[in-house]
Amino acid sequence: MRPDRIDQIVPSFAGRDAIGTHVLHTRQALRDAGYQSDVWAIDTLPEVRGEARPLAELTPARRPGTWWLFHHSIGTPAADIFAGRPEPKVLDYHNITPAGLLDRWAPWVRDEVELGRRQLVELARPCFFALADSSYNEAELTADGYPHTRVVPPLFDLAAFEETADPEVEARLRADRRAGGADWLFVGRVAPHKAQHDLIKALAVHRRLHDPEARLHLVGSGMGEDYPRALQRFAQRIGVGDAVRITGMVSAGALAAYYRVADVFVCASEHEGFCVPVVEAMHLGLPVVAHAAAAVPETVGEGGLVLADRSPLALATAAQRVVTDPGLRKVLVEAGRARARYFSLERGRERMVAAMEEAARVAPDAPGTA
Amino acid sequence: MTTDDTAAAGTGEADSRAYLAQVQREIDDEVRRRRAAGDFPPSFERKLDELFARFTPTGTSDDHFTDALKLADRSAYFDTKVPIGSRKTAKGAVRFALWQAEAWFMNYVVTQLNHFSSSTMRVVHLLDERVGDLERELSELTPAPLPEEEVLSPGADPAPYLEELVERLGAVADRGRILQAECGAGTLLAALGGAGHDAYGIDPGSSAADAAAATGLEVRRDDVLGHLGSVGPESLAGLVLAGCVDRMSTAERRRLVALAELTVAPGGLVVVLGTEPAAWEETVGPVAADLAPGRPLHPDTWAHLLTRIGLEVVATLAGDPASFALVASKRAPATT
Repeated sequence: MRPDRIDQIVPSFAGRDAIGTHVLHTRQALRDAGYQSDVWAIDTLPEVRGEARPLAELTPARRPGTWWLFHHSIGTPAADIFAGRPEPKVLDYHNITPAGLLDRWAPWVRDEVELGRRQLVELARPCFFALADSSYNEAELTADGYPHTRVVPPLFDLAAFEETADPEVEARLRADRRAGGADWLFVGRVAPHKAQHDLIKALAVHRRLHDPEARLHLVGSGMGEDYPRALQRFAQRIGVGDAVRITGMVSAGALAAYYRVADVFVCASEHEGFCVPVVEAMHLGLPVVAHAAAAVPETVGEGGLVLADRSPLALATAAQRVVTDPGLRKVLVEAGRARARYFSLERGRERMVAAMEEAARVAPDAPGTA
Repeated sequence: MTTDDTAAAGTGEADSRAYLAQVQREIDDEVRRRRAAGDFPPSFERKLDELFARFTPTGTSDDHFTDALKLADRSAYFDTKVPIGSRKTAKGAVRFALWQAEAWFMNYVVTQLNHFSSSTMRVVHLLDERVGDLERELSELTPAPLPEEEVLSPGADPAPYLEELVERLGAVADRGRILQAECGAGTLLAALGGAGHDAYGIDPGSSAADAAAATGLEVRRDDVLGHLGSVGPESLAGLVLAGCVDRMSTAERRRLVALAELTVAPGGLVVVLGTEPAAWEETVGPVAADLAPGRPLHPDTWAHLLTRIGLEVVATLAGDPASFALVASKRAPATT
């Protein structure tokens, strides 16, 4: 049965992150398809204040004709509030990083991710339908007993990636290039499951074998202090300290400058539920070389080089080939752009609305819908 | 887009796909070639791994436990003085009034919390001292191995059993992959691969294993117990245990057979390729044999250990008086 309203619950609502962007585009897609739709959150960051209603203001009274769409990526009390609602429930699963990849570095996150895993299992019963960013995520939902699932990649606007490059940052990066050497780029949180340490190893191998002046730019905020500090100390210890640039979070213009100047986007992540920066790179014409792990091969598709061999030597060899072979580079740029188009906002909105229509077809069997 | 355009685009995509697949093969070949040429031995990559491990919070470069204790000490004190200052006088006055109104209660609770946390930290410090004492005593009890003890046994040579092992393992190969732990120079892996079976090896890092990897064999650097702990249940068609079986402690051997039973598929085989104790003693001499922390077991002892966890010993292969190959099968569940 088609609802009148589909409201979303997101524990922490930020405007610029992947889930926040997805939530805003989902709301617009649902409204355009004739649903009423609002966003509810426990915490709302200042840049999107006014876009979400505080979850604390949600009264327990039943809201006829309403469905709830809950965005799950970490343990949160919002999941319990969602589970306790009497209306039909749909889960949108953005994956939870395995605790084992984090606990040595950020033990305080372990409790949150373990709670998130438990909540994922518990929510299988009350949710009659679930969405997943990727088939990789969907497999986890199926294993946890979700009855009806569908893959809907995150919604984001490719055009939003086409920010004007910050001229100062671009000039600085180009000045560095005049000394020679290729620029490798990875964008994403500086966190152990993104395995930036493997990128540093690969850079060390690459500099020793191919290009002694090559640089690696790691753009993104850090998860805690231990891991970024360890990366810096490790890079110094193996003699590439000056070549590894850990930028922290940068402005959209600065990020555009990094994409524009870099020669290759490298990804050694051990765990990704989707990996939006890979699509960003492909859309902006930057060739992608990635290790095959978690959802990364699925997101890259045939738009980049995906390496089964996780060794630094394999990554260095592939990156060197991309940087020095213009023919390969041209093919990768075209293939990457074609792959990125698959994730266009227009198609993403269609997928989201189609998923809700499919959910409406199975809804009468769902608990709480009778 | 017209039909012709679509067809052209489709052809273009197919060409691009084939081209990228070809490039990936070339990259794999180059990696293999560089390894074979010795440009980049796996031991270098291992050194990078080991170096990075030193910078992890539980690494070995610093005494992180002491740091963690200091941090816990700092966090163990709860301050009762609530910050009530404000640039705005009225706000500060309101906060002060609230603080005064709640202060008696807060003080009561926080004082108890402080007592509790300081007692807890005292216990942790006592534990730290006791563990430190234990570590010191243990280090005295376990002297560093003599140089001759470190080269006790390179493991039994699989050559005398190659043909029969390949045949027996090949007969169950449809159940999953075949793992050799430790694989050493990769003789058995090469024979299994040559017969078309999907086999890989692990080795904690001998130069022989580096050489095996350089020839293109799938050899991973890993320790046996750690690796088996991460292998999926009942996912292996065959598990060949070699090298490590001659030098493990009793507890490690118990864990090894338990993991073997867990990881081998029903109907699959566990092979213990071991050194005969008598031959080993003769080789290493009485001093090293007496001081060795672990020593080879007789085939009967292995048969006992494997039978006890429910495996069925199907053969003890003879081919060399200095070694043996014991083959045990994991029974497939009975069908009704």
